[in-house]
This record gives sequence, C-alpha cells and structure tokens, in this order.
Amino acid sequence: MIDLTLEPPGTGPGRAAPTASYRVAGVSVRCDRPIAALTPFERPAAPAPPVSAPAAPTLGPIPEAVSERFRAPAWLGGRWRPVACSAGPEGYRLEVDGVGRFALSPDGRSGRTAWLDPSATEDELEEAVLGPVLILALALHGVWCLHASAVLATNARGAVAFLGASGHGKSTLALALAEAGPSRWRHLADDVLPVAGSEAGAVVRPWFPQLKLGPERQPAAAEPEELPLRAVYLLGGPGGPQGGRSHLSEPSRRDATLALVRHTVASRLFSPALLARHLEACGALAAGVRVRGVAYPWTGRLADGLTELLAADLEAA
Amino acid sequence: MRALARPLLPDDLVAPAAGILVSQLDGEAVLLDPECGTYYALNAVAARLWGLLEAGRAPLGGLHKCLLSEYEVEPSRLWGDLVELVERLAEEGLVEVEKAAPADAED
Repeated sequence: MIDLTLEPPGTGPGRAAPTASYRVAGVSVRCDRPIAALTPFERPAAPAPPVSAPAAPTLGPIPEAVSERFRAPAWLGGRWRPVACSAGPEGYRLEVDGVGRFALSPDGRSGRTAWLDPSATEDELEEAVLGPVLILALALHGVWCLHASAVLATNARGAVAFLGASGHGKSTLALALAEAGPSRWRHLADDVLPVAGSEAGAVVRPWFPQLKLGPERQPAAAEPEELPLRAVYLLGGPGGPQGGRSHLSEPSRRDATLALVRHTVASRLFSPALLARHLEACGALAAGVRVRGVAYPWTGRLADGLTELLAADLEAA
Repeated sequence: MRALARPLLPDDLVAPAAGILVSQLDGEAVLLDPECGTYYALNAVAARLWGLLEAGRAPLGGLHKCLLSEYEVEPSRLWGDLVELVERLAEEGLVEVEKAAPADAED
C-alpha cells in the first residue's frame, strides 16, 4: 500500500481522508484526491491498514548534505529543471524546481507534498508525484520501473520488453508489432514498464500510467495486472545494420545486468541500501529471463523479418 | 579518483574498499559503489582477482602468483596487467592499497 498526499499541508483534506484508490504496478495506491492519469487503474478502496510510516517533518530546501543522492537537471513537466534528492533515515526528500518539495517515508508507504510552488500547475504536480515519488515508492516495494516499451506475446503467454535509449525505437517497435499482428502481439507499455520478482520468476506489472499516451489510451488497462516476463530485447538503435538483416545477439549475464541497471527509471535517486537491492534484482532478472540484443534496419517502420525473428526466438525460449 | 604515489610493488597489500558491493555473474562481475551509485563491469580475470581480494587483504605478489597458476600467460605480462588493473581500481576508490615499507619493497 502506498498513501500519496498531493495537497500540501493546510490546504486539503490531508492524509486522513483518501478519496481515490488505484492499483498501480501491483500495489494499492491511495490518494487524497483523484489523479486523472491513474483513472484507468482506479479500483474500489481496500480496507485501510494501520499506517506504519512515520510522518515526515516540515521540509526546507535540501542542504548540500552528505545524504544527498542527486542534484542535476531532469526532464519533468515538459522541460529540463533542477531536481535534488536526498536519502536518509527519515526517508527520501525530493525538490523539483518550480513544482515543490516532496517527502517519502523510508518504507515507501507514504509520500506527500511538503510544499507546493505557487507557480506549479496541476499537470506538473501530478507528473512529479507519478514520476520520481511513485517510482521511488514502488522501488522500495521491490518493483523496478524499466525505461522500456512492452508487448504481450500471446503465443508465449507473457510479456516481452524492449529496452533502449531514447530514440532507439522502443515505442515504435512495440506499436508496430501490435498493429502488424494484433492476434500475436498486444501493446502493454510505451515508456515505463514495472517489473518485479516472484516465486514463479520475473513478472511485469504493466498497470502504470504511460504519460505520453493520456488516460484514455493506456494499453495495459484491459490486460492482466501481472504477466510473466518472457524476454527482454536490448535495441541497438539507429546505428543498426542499415539495409542489412535483423539479427539477435546474446549478451553476457554481466552486460545484461548492466543494461537492466542502466535502464531503470530514477535509479540515480536510490539510497545505497536500495541500490544494493536493485543490483541484486537486476542480476536475478538477467539470470532468469531471456535477454537478447537486437539489431534491425532502422527505417522508421517495422523491419522485414523482425516479427518472425522475435517470434522464433521466443519459441526457442 | 585517487592516484598512487609510486608504482606498485609485490609486497604492497591490496583489499576491497569498505562498502563496495559485487554481483558475480557467470564468471564476470559488476561492482557497485553505493555511495555514488556508480557501477563497474569486471571481465573474467578482473572478477577472479576480486574473488581473491574478498578472501582478505593480500600482497600483490601473492595475487600475481595465484593468477599465474590459473591462467596461461607470461609472468611479466600478467604483472603489468595486474598492476594496471589494481591502479585503476584504486583510482576509482574500489580497492585500498597499503604500501609496503621501503626496506621490504627492495627484497
């Protein structure tokens, strides 16, 4: 359970009166007000458990302290803006320039707006809360958000993730597969894919707002909340075999682990203890899931033969 | 980055820096410095060296001898590669090197 309080102190109903309940990435999320981007994942409120998270103190600006994890420009709310994050026994503190300050309890069960910049828009506030705050909270619950697109491979009865840097064709490939073979591939994620370990192996939990698509076009809303993760493909990007044939490669487990590490959203904000859990999780993921590099001619559309190549590879898995 | 004052010698003692995390992965490894969130990829030989270091602080000469028994390589080449690797690890703050006293170094 994650309790999110968007209203800053003294301006809203507060944590005692959550008004909306959602399932996000396999975790129940309660908010003190509805969040439009989470509408597709709204669910009846679960009985409230005792709140174990300590209340965060009133927050001033984050000092240049030893506990600081991150202070750099980050893309949020449509522009690059300074973001600072500190982690310590009191939990996480996030400061987003032009939006506000946010606090997250050490166990990730309680996040709140500690101070709201008067110039912040509703969209900026929601993006900050659904971005670093919620993603950190999920990580503390053992759910890691990959910067990835994904499809449901119906033949393999599981999800396939595509990792790559911005511009390497993640979104295009996932959409193209879904459009080319809707009976074989169904779109799951455009940009952010939560994954977790389970007793049965790695799973994806695709109920997560894909902010670029808008609430009415969330591809995973009609899909199961949790699916086995069958394979991860690392996209080579535009430098691929121009005019050549698509091909797969097998990275070492070390390189697969590092790729998963690098493509985890917000990992630069993680505390040392969370980084250790993250490394362990990525190593386990790389060991338990088929990871392949994929190079394909970059033409802005689905490369000839790529669908068959991926289908055959999944079959082999 | 931490530069070493003089070239490494066989009696210099090497140990993993405190707090460095390792994930051994099919003979290779990934190191994590959790304080700064930086990851390092180790190839098979470097991962083996790290495995030896995890057993405890060791003299560089002993590490060289151990690796020499496991890999088919010219001793001088292995020494050069080993020194380069340890210097790089020390520069990144991943290992700590305790330099031997000068008299010991000349043995």
